[in-house]
Amino acid sequence: MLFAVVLAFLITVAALAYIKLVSLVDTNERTNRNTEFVLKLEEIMSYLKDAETGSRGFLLTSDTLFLRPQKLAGKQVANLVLDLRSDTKNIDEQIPYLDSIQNMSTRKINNIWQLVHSIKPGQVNPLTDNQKQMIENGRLLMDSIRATIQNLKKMEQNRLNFNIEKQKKSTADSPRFFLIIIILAVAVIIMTMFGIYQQLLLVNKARKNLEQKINELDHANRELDQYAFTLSHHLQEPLRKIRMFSSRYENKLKKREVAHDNDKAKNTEGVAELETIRKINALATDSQQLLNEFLAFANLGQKDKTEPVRIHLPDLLHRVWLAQKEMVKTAQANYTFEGIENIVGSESRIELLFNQLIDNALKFHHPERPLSIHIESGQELVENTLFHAITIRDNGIGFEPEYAQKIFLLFQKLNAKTNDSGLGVGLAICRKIVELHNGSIVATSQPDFGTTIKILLPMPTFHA
Amino acid sequence: MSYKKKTNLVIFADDDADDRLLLQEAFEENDIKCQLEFVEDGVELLGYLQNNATIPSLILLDINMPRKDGTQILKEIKSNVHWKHIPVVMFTTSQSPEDIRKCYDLGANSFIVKPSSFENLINVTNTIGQYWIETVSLYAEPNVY
Repeated sequence: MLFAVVLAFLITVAALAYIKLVSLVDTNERTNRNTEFVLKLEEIMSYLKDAETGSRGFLLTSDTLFLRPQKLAGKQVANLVLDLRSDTKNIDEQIPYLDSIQNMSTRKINNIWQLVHSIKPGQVNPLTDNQKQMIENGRLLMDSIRATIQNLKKMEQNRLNFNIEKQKKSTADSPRFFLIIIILAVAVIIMTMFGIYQQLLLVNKARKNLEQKINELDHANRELDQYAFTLSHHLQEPLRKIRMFSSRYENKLKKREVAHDNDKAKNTEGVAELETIRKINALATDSQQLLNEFLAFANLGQKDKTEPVRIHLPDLLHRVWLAQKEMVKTAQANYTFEGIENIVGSESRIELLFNQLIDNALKFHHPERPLSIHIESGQELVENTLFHAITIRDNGIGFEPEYAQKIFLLFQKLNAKTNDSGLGVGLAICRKIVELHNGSIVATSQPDFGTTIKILLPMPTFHA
Repeated sequence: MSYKKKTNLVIFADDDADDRLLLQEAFEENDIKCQLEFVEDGVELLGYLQNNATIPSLILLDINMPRKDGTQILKEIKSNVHWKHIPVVMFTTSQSPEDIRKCYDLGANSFIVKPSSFENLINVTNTIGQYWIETVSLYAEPNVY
């Protein structure tokens, strides 16, 4: 907006300066032409005077040498008048004057020639009456030519004076005019630059503020991750010790039990003690596992050095499957894979992702049928963008559709009663990994029939 | 020149008193034939090695210790001509792939993650005794006395 106003102002200033300059040049030109016009008129007059003087000389001496100016005058006067007339800039009122000058000049020159031809060779003064009349006519003609030229000259002079006056005025004006324009322009430019500078300062300040906020946020985030990481790490040790000592105590109790096999009272006491110590151990084991999973989750935010590589899915699934062989046996599980075999991502994270997904499927298998997991890998067009789509379909116990969103949140357990080892971190880990790959993950399910988890990952920029 | 069969010396370097106690119990439980000595950190371990004529048959080394940590000590042992042949078994809570890789790079002979139950500890120490004390041949310096 400001810029447009300034631009408009500068253009106006430039246009004004240009108009002023053009008018100055114009005035100057007109003054020159005036002077030239007057000079030409005087030239005509002088040619005619030359012719007149020449004829007098001839009358006195009969020498034809004096007739030369006459010959020249006729031609020159005609040319000069033509010159003056052809100047289109001349004002119309001058044209009749010019015509009558032309006319009278022709007559004057003819008059001189008549006089010259009337002189017979050998004729001596006095002149005849006729000749005297001719001279008188010539004189009258000359007078009226002089008067006309005088008139024209006066008119031209007036115009010249007017122009000179005008020029004087505008010349006197121009330095002040240009000075004002230049001062205005400079002032506007300085103001504009100052305005722009102020804007830049503001923008810079805002940017710095923003950067600082981002830094603080980053720092706070890192600190939070660090807290989570350090805390869970430090809690690991005491939990391990609790398990060690409780299991050691359990060992001792078992031995004592064997020793007191016949003492019924002591035996009952021993069994109760054993039960207590087992509970302590089980609780510590649960907490340890929770911490381990949470540590895995916190770890995802910790290191970002994992470079994306090409991953062969069937190989990865095979590894994951082998690692879970205990649970695979319990669930009588099998899996199938079809589709695109390579995906691009951080290998350790993608492995953790499939590890968690398979683990989840195995955990929540249906007790009445063997578990089968089908993994499909393909391409899918979503809102004009091509994605790598991976679906993991199982025939497990499933869940109520209303929990489809909730299951991906941290520490959300749906199957509280089943008393399995699911602690609600696994799917949160999956979601975080997928998000770290700029993808999305959704789950759909029908209770008692099974669960389908669908992952969309951006297609790699290069072809794997 | 005579070679004398000495009692096997096992040094366990760990700053955690509980772990030292539990390991000792596990060794006793398994009745492993050795002399078990404890040091509390890396600097103490180096001092022990310098001041004792007996070369240990095995060093069990924790990673997270004050003063000098396990990997540093491992590096110093494995770059010392008199000690580099001593088997060093890392015995730690760390499970990180970087730690495992680093220790093997530096010449660790095994990497064992500390078990979470006493029963497993007994099993692990039994394996250690079976392998490093009963099975493998160790280099014994000629008796100079």
